Amino acid sequence: MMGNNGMSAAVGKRKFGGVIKKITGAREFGLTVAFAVLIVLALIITPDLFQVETLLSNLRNYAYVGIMVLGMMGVIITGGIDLSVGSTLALTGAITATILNNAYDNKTNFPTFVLVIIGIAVGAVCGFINGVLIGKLKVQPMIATLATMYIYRGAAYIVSGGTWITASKLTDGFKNLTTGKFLGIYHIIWYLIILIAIFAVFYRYTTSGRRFYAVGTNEESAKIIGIKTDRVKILAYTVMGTLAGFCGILFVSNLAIFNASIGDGVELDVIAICVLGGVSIVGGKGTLLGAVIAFLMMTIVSAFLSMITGMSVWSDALKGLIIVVAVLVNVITAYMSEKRTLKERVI
Amino acid sequence: MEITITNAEGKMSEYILELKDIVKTFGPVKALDGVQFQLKRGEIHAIMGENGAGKSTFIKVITAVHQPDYGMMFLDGEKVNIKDPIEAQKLGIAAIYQNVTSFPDLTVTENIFMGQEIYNSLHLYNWGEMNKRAKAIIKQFTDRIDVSQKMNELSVAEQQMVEIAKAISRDARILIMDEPTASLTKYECEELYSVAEKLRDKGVSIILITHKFEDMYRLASRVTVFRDAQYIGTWDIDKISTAKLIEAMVGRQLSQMYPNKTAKIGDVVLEVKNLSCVGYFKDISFNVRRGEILAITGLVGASRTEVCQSIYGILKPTSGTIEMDGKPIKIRSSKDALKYGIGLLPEDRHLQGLVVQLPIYQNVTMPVIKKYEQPLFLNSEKEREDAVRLCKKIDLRASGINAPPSSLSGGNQQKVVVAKFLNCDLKVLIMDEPTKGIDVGAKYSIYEIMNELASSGYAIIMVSSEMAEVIGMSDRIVVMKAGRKTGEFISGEATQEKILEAAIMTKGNSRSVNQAPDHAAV
Repeated sequence: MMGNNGMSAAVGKRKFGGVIKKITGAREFGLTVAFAVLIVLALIITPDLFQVETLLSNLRNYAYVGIMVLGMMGVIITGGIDLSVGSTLALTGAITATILNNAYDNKTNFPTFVLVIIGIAVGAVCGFINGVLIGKLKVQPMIATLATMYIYRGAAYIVSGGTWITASKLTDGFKNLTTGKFLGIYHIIWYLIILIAIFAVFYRYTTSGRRFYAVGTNEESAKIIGIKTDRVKILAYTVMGTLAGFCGILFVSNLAIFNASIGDGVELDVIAICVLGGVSIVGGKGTLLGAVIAFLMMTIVSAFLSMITGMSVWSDALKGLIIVVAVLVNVITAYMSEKRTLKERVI
Repeated sequence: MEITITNAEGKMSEYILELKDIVKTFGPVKALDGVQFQLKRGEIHAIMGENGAGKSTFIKVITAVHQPDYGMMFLDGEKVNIKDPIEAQKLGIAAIYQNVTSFPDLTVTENIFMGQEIYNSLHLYNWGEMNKRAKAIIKQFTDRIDVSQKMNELSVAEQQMVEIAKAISRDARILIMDEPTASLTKYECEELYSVAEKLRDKGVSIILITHKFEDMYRLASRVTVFRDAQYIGTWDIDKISTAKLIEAMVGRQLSQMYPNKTAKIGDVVLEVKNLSCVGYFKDISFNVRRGEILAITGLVGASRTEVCQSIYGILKPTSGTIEMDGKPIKIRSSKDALKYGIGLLPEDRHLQGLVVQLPIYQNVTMPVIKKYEQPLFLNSEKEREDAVRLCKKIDLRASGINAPPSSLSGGNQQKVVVAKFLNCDLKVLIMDEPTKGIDVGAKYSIYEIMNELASSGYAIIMVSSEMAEVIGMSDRIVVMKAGRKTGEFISGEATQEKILEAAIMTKGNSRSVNQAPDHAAV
């Protein structure tokens, strides 16, 4: 009996230790801590940052990055990558802006919701093409999307004729799409919130979402079990493209300006946030929570830097540093927890 | 999940599964050449044969991963044409492959229900219900597994249990196990055996592919042997001798499983005194002599590999001394170890032993590449010469020294690793599971190489889980259990029972204390 008690106590201790380890071991935990530290730092240095208005306006300008993170996460989880999202964004932006420009010249009014539908459809087609290249034709994701990155960007220049389209030519209805407010919060932020909710359910509770993980963690067994891996990949890239297309419209609407170089390099920001949020670059691993926290963190950092005079030049360097530190912290905590379990082990 | 088999008299054939004249070619290679097979209801039927005999291809034909070029398959006496693995699953055929084919980053529950998910009314995943059912299924076999754990947090044995649970949850009537015990400890094997027996008693027919005679004798009632893509024969286990079976497998007579050892044992070369490493092992002492083969055995998780790694400088011991020829030495890295003449053949050839894409000769010369340095370029002529000489010495079967090891069989790959160290001027060679996953014929030649090395004065430390190999090959046996040395035997005195007792039954059993570090340690 005594022995039994001792054993169950040991098991209990292990379970408890396991829970603690699960919490502290989670990427989200480290991120949240870092996030908290950052906010405290920011509060001390620039109290202005924490006025609701400042925060919202920053979030408003980064929301499109956040929306794309939701799709990129899925792509990376399937073991892929999408470098073409910035170009897709520019292409739908170009189409939207050009339509509005022509409508302005012809003194007609083009309904905003049709624009949105067109933009989303264009984005979906762009993503679908990526998906077919990668899923069906087995082109390496990085190569395929590197190529389409140039193609879509080129298409954006061709469509727009390389011209700038400015606020005066955009209808108020179109601008209102993002800059309008509901319950005191910009529409664009609402889109982000709603999409986060949808994708939270998608990645955890739907077959399609879970298939992303299955394909990313072991493509061969996914095939054996009857999962059509090519279709899963096509879906992942199409979702990504759709979101990027949507973001193209939001971008033009939000800043009320278009030129064909918008969104240049944003794909790397999006990928960096995913990596920071703990999405494994080899696929199969990653949570929406982690990605969202990482997104908020990067937003705060950018806002923070833009508010201190002379610091904005530091922006990119610091972003890189944060990623390195985040990854290092992960490595070190993993090492420490391994050391600890070794020490606890009775020999 | 209960499986009942209604025996409608006369209507059902004696066999649940029957294959006839199966031919399968891959390009010019005949992987299966007119193979036949019959599986009785509720029997455990072993399929044996050397690597490359066609066993794995055969399994993939049954599960419809491959389509045969020719031949017929009968299920319950009726001819079937299975299109794809999904249809095979629906017909009740499930396979547990050699390299467990799960989804490592997903939970146990999700692995079990992948492809047969349970939804709620909104057609969303019903995690609660799936977890509950997964728990119920797993519980039939073991209560160690928590269904919310990720697969990669489990040991290989536990992962196999999950695979079996998965098959059972799909109402499998025919279960194929491909080398299920290849990386299990003795204890885990027993667990697996009892699960297999449980399933058989419930009416599941099991096909067991194995290299281990132990598995076959313990479980199977009949055995079918393949050789060189051909069907050799089927026997009742109790009607064929081991020698006859080996003969059927290798196509020649192996007078014995282990070659005779002739090496003369000399002075102590390496001595380890009270070596400890926090979390892995404590107070390990032993020595090994010139010309001697010392076996270190025990269950997986006994930290045998870690002891070897400490000697080789990969893992840093926290206390204790290592002496070479009576003088204490400090080994901080594998470079130091090689300098003192200690070599290590790692357990995982692919991960740690070979660069499988590089040509054989470059693999062989890699540790001593400095030897071939000259101004500007490497002396690759000398490199090749040495490689040819060494490959001859180990009787390597390869198309040439420019071929990459990836083109070789497991046994020949292992020989390349050995050759690599022969080039290094060693005194002590540590071999971690040298014959793991290698077929009978190739094993024998590895044993011969070991004996030859011993004869030429090497001291060999062999880590092995295979009891027969430990007893058959070594001069002395050190047994470890959970990081402690629990026994040492001279080969003449050692019996399976004695070794097993030292490996499991010692007083102060601390097995249950902590499982997690086993995984952390990997």
